[in-house]
Amino acid sequence: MIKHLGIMAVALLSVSSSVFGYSMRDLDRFKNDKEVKITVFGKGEAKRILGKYFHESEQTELVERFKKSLLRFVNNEHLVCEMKLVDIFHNELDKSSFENDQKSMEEHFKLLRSIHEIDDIFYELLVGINKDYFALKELKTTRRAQGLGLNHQKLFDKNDIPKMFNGFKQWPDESDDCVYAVYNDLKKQVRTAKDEVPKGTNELHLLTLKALKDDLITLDTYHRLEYLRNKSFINKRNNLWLADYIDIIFKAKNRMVPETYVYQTKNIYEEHKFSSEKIKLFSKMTRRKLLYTKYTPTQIIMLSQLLKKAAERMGADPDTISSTVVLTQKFTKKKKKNENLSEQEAGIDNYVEARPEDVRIETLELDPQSQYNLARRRMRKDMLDLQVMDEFLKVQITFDDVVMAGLETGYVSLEDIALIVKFDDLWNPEVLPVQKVLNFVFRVSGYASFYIPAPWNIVAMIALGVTEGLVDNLFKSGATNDNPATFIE
Amino acid sequence: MITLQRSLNSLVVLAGLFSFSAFASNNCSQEFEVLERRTGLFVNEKYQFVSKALTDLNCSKTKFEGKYFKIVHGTSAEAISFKSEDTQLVRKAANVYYHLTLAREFWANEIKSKYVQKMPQITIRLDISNGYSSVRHFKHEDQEVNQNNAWTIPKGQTPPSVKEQLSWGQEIWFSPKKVLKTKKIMPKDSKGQNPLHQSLLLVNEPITEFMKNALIYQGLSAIAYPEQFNTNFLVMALERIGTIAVVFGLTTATKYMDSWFVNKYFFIDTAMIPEIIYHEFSHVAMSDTMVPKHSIPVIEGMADYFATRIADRRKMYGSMKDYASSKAKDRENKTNYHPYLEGEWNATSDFTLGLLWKGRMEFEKLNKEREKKAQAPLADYDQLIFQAHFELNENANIATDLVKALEYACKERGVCASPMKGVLTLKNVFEMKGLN
Repeated sequence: MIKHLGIMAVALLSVSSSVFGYSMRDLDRFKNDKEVKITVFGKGEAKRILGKYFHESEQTELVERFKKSLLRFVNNEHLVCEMKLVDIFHNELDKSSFENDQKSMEEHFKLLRSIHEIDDIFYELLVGINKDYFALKELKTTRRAQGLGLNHQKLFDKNDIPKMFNGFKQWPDESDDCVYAVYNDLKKQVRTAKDEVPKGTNELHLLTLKALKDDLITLDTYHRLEYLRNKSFINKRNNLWLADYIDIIFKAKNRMVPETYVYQTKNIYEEHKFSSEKIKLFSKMTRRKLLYTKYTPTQIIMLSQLLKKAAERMGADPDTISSTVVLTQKFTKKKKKNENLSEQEAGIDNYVEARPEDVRIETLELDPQSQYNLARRRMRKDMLDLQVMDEFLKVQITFDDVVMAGLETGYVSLEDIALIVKFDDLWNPEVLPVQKVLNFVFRVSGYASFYIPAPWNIVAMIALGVTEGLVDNLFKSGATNDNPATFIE
Repeated sequence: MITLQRSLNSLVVLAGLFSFSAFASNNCSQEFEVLERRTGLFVNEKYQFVSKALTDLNCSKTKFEGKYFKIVHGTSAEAISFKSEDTQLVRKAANVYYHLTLAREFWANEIKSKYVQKMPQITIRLDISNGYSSVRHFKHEDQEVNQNNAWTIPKGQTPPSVKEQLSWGQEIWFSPKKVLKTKKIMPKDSKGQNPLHQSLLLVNEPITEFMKNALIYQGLSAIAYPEQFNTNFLVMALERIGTIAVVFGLTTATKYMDSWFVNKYFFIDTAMIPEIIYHEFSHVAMSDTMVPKHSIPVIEGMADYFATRIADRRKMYGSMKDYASSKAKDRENKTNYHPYLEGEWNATSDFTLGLLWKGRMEFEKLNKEREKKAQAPLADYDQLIFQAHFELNENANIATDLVKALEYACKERGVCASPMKGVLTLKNVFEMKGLN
């Protein structure tokens, strides 16, 4: 009996943790609590998926199987082999009643996204890897390759083809060697005939053909490489890899949640859309995705700490009591040893050490709003200080990135976002689009009034002046008020 | 034995009746006519007298005296009788008693102020024109005469050296109404503070500069092209000079028209204005930390805020025919902060009221948003102001002390559900009101 219990305990332990030490509980970090909108498919599609997996037991089982696969992947498998995760999940589904062809797997991922078990970024990665996994599995590799055509000797001379294609002597097994990693390695080595980094993939195509012609790779490998070059998800990646994503999830996400108070989201769709907003009008890149693409976990933590420091300084940090800022300045009266000597005669040694009565200290306590402004201005300086660190070499820090990092680490909640984004109004005030249009209209009207015949030009000027005054009043904010009592604005 | 038993029974019955009547006498209510404002479109708002029950009156006395308030006339110690010959005084007493009761109920039951709940009876003086003396209670009328005013006085006592020892509790005093001609009380050097002059100042410079430039340009053209010097040319020049003269003349004339834009007479019967009654009681309610020794913007502003809450109206202390010709305070005023507003001479400005009310509007917006998301409200704003008063005293200023007190109440006293959100919302409000 004890022996059986012991075996069961070991079995349970092996399922729940491993050498890397992640447990099922750690996988809760993959749940979506940041993205307020599903941007990877529409509301109609989400509704259809939820209707398809109507039974809660079905949803629960699918989630469990996915988590089991993910746990095995993060604990036991080499994280760089992205297709291994899909492979593990595919095999896991073999043991169940769920379909596991490419389309069905994609539906499963859609469900996981719709019920917020994963976020948009993970969904996109999974769907892309899934597509490549099945495409490579089912690829027809018997068709003859096209010929090399014109003489490309200069190109071949610039590239060490045997060395470059060494990794593809045998197709990577997704355990010791990873397809994407070896392919990326190959791509990085390609040079043009002029020994430059190529812009497209035409050079790679020619080199692959040459490698095939020289029997460095098989026909099967040739077709797979062509698939990767032309149709693979790897070409739409924006430099975000599964290993990097998982790294950020475990090392940065929700690592700075305040102790005193945590905002509990009831319905994520009702929260501020900051994280899901596109960075540009027709771009697919959201703010959150940009953070994951641009920064490492350490960088994200450092950006978030910047925000925490600012909150502490302004007295808004829930875990800290902040004192008032006091500026002090010391004034020491110069006292000569020999009053009869002039400055030139006496020299620099003429001054005695100050006595207490010669010293005056002026202290100034900042009012809370000045302290608030000072905290924001110091935050701006902190951003510049971070920017010049080696850690942030070649990475341009923006204020939006800082806010997004704060949200990702859990320091800032979805509820706080609306106020945090106003911090930079101090140096980057918001001008509404309607204000820009009105400014332009008033400027043009002002010039036009010169050409109106008298006395109507005076009437026009008065009307314009009054209208501009009324409109300015609408957009007048207290932030532009001239308050002579403060000097940190 | 039976006689003794019967006597004892009688005693018990009498004791029961006595205690019953004693209990009953402290729960008396009586109906009187009190003033109620009606929302109107015009500055001079309408009002009506409605019959309302005054509760918690001491029924054994047919006077305006109850568990919480005693209404007296002038420096008297006796409460005003229901049957007093001065019917105007009775009306005033009923009005004050009724509105003070409303105010007390707000503070005791909604704000749940323990200080107010435990407060002993306070004396309310009507038509008192004496000044307050911290050593004698009342100043002699020769020393100071008050009218058109109301104020709260702190408790005190005569110095130990004085033979006749006197002590008094907190009191609210309402001075009598007196009709004054505004011209006599306006500052003599008041010039150009009227809206007509201010509007002309806005257009004066652009028009004058434009005309001057046009004249200069015309003059230069005349020098360059003397053949242009004809009648039309002169007419145009004269028009331009005329415009400058007209604008200058109007601007100068309107500078002396300030008296055209004020009421001819100033008066205010403070005991008849409900909001003033609420305001004064609010001073009493907050006197545990903010002793009403002198008027400062913070103390007055906080009292204004609670008065606005009890009255539930936007324009406060506005004119009423026969009772007040005063300028209203607007809780939604757009004034921005300036250090001058900290001065005692600006204690009656509506900036602090506007600041606190702005905060209320912002918190209400956020509370509604949270409600939609099935979340608890961000903060009970009345509690926020109330808790803030514990961090203030009678010397507090707006920019530092009031701001700090509100933030402290939000974050450290736990009034705000989310400390960061609460504090940042407050900072946003302060910035919107020009405290930048």
